[in-house]
Amino acid sequence: MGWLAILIPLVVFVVLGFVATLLFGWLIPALGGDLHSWYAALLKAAFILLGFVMPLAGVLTWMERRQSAMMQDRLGPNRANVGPVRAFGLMHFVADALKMLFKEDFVPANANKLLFALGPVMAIAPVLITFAVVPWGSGVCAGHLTDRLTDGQLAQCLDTGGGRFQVVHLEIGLLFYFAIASLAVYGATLAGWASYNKWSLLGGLRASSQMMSYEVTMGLAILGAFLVYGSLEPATIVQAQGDSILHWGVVTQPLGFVLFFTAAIAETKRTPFDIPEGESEVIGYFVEYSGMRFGMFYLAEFMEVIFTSAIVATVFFGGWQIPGLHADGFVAGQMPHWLVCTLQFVAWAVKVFVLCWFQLMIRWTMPRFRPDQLMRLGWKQLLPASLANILITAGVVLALMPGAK
Amino acid sequence: MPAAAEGHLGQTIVFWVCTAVVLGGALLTITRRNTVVAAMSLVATFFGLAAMFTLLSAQFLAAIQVLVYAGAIMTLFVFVVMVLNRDEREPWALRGIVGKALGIGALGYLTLLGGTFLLGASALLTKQGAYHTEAPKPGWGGVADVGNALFTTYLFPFEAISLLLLVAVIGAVVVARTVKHAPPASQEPPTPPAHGEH
Repeated sequence: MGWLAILIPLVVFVVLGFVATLLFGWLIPALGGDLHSWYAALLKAAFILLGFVMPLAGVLTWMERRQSAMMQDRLGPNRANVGPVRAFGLMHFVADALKMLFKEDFVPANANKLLFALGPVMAIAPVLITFAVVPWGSGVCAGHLTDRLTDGQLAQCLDTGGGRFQVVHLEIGLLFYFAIASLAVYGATLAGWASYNKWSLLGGLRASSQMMSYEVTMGLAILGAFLVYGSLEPATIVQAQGDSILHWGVVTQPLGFVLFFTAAIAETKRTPFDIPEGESEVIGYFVEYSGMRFGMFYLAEFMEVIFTSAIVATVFFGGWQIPGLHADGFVAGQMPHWLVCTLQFVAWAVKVFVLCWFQLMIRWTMPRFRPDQLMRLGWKQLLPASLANILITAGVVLALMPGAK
Repeated sequence: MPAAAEGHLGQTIVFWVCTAVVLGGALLTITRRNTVVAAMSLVATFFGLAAMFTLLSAQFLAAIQVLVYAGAIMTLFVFVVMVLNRDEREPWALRGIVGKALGIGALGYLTLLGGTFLLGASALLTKQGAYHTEAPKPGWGGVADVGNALFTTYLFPFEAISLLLLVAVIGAVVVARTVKHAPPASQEPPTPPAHGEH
């Protein structure tokens, strides 16, 4: 059955990529829509969030249980029958969602009602917003779906009237992501404080100190990649990583990759960085939450996992690039535009999926840090290393790059 | 051109929504007794300000505004408020006739200041050529633009401020460090504390 675990996601990604290509390359232009307008951006956001992120977040809740079960030599949830259909227990996340929706929404007597309600919203909203800058394909050139476009033609088309596979194309790019992601800390802090519970307060304090500390490393670690690719814009960074694996961020910035990935996992607050939860010590900042409000924290955690994967794939693994694949296929004039668009989406989705799997594996391999170990790692080891990475990268870029002086 | 008119309308709507967020957040910040609610209102104000910066094509400034003020400094504020967990009643606040008189005086001063500013601003805006109406160059206010300005024209102030921040960081470390007492000159083991001592 192992091959099904590879085949099913792959088929789903192919279908999704094809739907996106048709939707933005044919349907919207055929209806007279402008691919640069605000409603096209809204449709793109709806597609990537409702078509990819939310379902994957749901599946990840099941994957985490199954994968941990495999790693611990047990079966895990392998059935959730809908009639005769067992579907490997995949329907568990539907059952989970139903349970959370119908559970009592309990608010502690002394809780601050307003901030208690604001906590889960502040946890989930920043993650949803940050997906706006993630490029999930180079983009589609309306009206040329069956043509064989060269790289130059496609770039020109994207600048004039084509639809980028990215909700917003901002010059500040990843700076926008850092700005919005820095607001996510309020979710944990407010939840911890508003619950009027000593343990949740401790969890909230731990969360805010941890997220503040690792945000610094995260920002500094990715600066090296900015220097190498000369841009903050994720789509441009992906474009600059070209079609050779040797140009990927993980090759040009190996230290930056390790530092950024570590700090990003710390930001998701999952084991080994789950000190804010620490269910054997303080239970967590969401200890007083029940029903769908808890569900929002839970969903936000898995969406952060997906987002971390998406950013790491974009900056360090070439985003939607397939080595050797140009806008007209591996050989000039080989593939029509729609096929390349679909393949690029599949490449991006597979990279994100594999990185999600890798994060789940880390989650179930490592024991939890102690708070003092966490602070020592963040401030005394990762931070100096990321500063050294910037210094070395800047030196190399200055020496090698023509025109850098 | 209908597209331009539509863009103008959209910008106007965004501007007034942002104005409401900024002013509402600022008012809530100074009127709420609950310190955490006040801090979150200030975050909303910062967010609205950042949106206004993007309307002025200052994208970099907008991102930094959210990143530094809303994301880092206010987090620290909330952290401190949570640790202290102060009572919502204000025992030190001036009450009675003295407090009211002071409040009215402050309000009058504020009205005077605001009125002067608005009058001056309206005089400036009606003057011909006092402000630019054309759209800024592409890339204005972007990362490359701000970076160029910081590292060429304003290099000295930039470096001077970084030195100031370094001094502040060293000062914070000096204040916060745990003082290690020198070991006593005699080699005797320290005497255990007497029981029942409070």
